[in-house]
Amino acid sequence: MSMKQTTQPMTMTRRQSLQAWLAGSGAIGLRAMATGLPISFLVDPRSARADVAVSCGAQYLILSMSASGDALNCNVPGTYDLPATFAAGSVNHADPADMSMAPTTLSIAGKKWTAAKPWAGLPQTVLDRTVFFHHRTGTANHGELGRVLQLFGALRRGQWLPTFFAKSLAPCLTCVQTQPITIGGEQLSFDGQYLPKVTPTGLKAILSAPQDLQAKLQALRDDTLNKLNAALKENRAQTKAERAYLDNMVLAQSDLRTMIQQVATDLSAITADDAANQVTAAALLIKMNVAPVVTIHLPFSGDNHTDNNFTSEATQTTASVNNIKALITKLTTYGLQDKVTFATLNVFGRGFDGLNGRGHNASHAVSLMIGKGFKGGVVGGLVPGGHAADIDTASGNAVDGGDLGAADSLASVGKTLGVGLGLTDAQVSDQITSGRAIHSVLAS
Amino acid sequence: MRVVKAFADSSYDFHKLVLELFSSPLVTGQAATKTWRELGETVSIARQDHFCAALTNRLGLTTSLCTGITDKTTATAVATNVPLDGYLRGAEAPALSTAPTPFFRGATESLCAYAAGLVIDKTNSRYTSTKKDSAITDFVANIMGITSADPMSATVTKILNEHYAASMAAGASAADALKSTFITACLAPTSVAIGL
Repeated sequence: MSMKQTTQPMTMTRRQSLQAWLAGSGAIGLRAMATGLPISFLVDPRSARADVAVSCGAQYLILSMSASGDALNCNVPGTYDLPATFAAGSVNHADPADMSMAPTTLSIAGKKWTAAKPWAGLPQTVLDRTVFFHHRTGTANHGELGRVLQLFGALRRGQWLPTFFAKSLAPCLTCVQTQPITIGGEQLSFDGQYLPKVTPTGLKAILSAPQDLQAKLQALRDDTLNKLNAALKENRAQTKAERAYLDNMVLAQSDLRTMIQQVATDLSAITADDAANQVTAAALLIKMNVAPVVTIHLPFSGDNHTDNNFTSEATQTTASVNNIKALITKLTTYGLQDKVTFATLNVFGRGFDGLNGRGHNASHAVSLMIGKGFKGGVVGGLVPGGHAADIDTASGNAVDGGDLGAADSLASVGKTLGVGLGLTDAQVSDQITSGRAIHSVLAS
Repeated sequence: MRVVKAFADSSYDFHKLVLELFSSPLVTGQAATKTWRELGETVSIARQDHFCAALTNRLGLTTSLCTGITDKTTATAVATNVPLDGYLRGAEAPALSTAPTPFFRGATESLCAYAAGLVIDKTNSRYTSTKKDSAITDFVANIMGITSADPMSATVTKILNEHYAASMAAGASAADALKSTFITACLAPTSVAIGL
């Protein structure tokens, strides 16, 4: 499907422009202004592609995202063993005295790389399905995580990448709900609505089942509320939106009860809201088949403009890699290690030339992808100045003047992750309008 | 298209456009429009500030219901699962959750149960189980916002009375039955949503 581009005639007056914007197409501009919903959503509120067929090799996605702009990009394969074209001191890694981030050789799908020590601690079976995708997001603004997740317009209709994946994967995974669940503090939009942020302890607080008489009374209340909903739907609701909302309230109630039945015991492991508990909660939500996409926040430095000897960066990187290991262990315990993909996507990366802290880097970031859909490798790389390299799409290597310009690398992250999740090239290309999936790191 | 026509008929007078636009039912909502009938309006959950303030006022509490929660589990459930109006870092548009998720449903249930414990059969509390009929009348009119003049009032009152009776039949005390009825009213769509 191609999108036709239209242009306004150069002779259009200011009045004509105002008239067209405010009152044209069912006063769409006015409605957007009044409701706060994006125009793209108002134009097509049912933009979910229910007709998109999904192969049932679909994977669940646990996505770590960060508006802090973490230094995940600074200590991974592809940023070590650089050629002489890089000036001395222009690429600094975290290297604290305790050697916890010491450059360490590791193997990914049979190829040797150097990375900070924590990465070498991932089991070889995990490394062999791990992709480090060097790209650029094109922004250095914390507030633009949403735009990064929209792939800066490369994703049609203003969708957010996790939402696009959730809608595409849900028909195959038959989850309790299609909407992603956001655990880690960052926010997501779904069809123009911001999804509520959930915490691990908050989940635990609401998913405890009452006992005895209170359980009976709760069941009675559910039944009574269904009657109230039905009465309101029949006698009060005047629009489709109101009727749909009442239906959603009934659904939310039944979904809640389903979840409670499934998780009461496992939830006892949750004790706080930190990254480790987010990992536990995310694995549980996938186990419960609540949603196709769960987002968390694993920090790899935070906004570390000031970070003496990169101490925070080293501590957080070590902890987050350990949490990735813990996640995979939990998923393996649940028998889900081949059904769930873990990935990261941050608003931007950080610069390489600082010594006691790092600035924002709009032109280089790294996205991590781990899952059955990947055969492991490093895509792209770094060029002098701390920028993402162009990419040769056949090999995935960083190549000056490669057929995939760094400008399109963010969209390629989206496409590659999508195919790794089980979507087809055609499906991702139908919705993501630039970039290419890098098949050299995809399992099939 | 009435606003468009008025604008065009005024020889594209910008002041006329502003006047017509902002006094239009499209903006004021004072009358049904074709757009409203065909597309409806945004219906939203009552987010934390709104819902807590509404319950506090409707129950005549002297301090905010949500800031004074003494039960830690309920406090956590409400604080983390009833969305706040908020802004994302550096973003100019507010982040306003509108969807009635299972998590919102669970948290409001916890809050309503907590409120029931405060206002039923306590010293000088708003409701007593010995006066269940007047209590249920208040649940319908005050908590659910369906006044006696509303055609739905009788239907809703009947449904709540049936719930009370079913609770008693299940073995609940009069106080527990009334609390359960209050929780039901507190969780009703007109109590926890805006725009219905």
